[in-house]
Amino acid sequence: MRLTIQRLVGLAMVPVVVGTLSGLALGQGYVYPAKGQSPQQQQKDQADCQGWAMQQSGVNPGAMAPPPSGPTGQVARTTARGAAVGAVGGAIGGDAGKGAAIGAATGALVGGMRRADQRRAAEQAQSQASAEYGRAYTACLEGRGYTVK
Amino acid sequence: MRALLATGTLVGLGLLASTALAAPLDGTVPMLCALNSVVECARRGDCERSTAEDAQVPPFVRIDVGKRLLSSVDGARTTPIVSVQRANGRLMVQGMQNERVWGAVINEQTGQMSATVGEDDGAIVMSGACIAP
Repeated sequence: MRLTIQRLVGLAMVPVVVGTLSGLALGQGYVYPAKGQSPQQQQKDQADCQGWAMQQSGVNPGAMAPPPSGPTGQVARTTARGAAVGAVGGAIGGDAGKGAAIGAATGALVGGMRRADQRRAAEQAQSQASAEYGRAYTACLEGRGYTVK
Repeated sequence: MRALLATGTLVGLGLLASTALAAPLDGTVPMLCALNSVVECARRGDCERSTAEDAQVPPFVRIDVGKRLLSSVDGARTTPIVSVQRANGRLMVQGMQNERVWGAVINEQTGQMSATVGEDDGAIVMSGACIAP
């Protein structure tokens, strides 16, 4: 019973987490089973496509940093410098390019500071990454006979 | 006798108050500094006003020269002080962290403070005031 509840909660959380990051890809988009696929089949296809989109785009929406505009947002320096999709992973741990932990979350006072241009670049990079994932996810679902809007 | 005691108490309190007001800002005791202006500059020369919150700088910073440490008030964020110098009534502290250099100059009389954080593609300039609570 406990396991079942955990599964249900876990299942419910996936679109919430991913949806907030990828817009059309999941949360705010609509997926219509154009070939009459069953709800179970649709659920499976969507899960498969999430995995495929992650693989193709190199973006894991569940691991993406929250939008860096807020006071708690952390971004990577490499991301700020224009490396878009590939650097999103660095947004989690810090300065992915140099392997050093950076940011307020790591306890660095000076290292955690961010200038506005860096924040903007990071937001743009995250947005691009999110769009990249969304395109891959949409392509996958369309390939499986769904209409995605 | 009573008048003498009252006068003594007042003088004592006055001395305590003046001592507290004149707490040294020379680094012998920890200081608390508030940031009241933050300007961010990119390498190409563009600068824009910001806030401590936006720049992700703690709005209040504790400077403990004895421990050679600059920290947020809650102690969660810190950076070591690498160099300290006093000259002409100014206390100067410097440090480095995550490929950035920082420095602050504090007027020991007024508590007025200016600080910068420099990196390879820009800088953050801050001003504020310090007290020795």
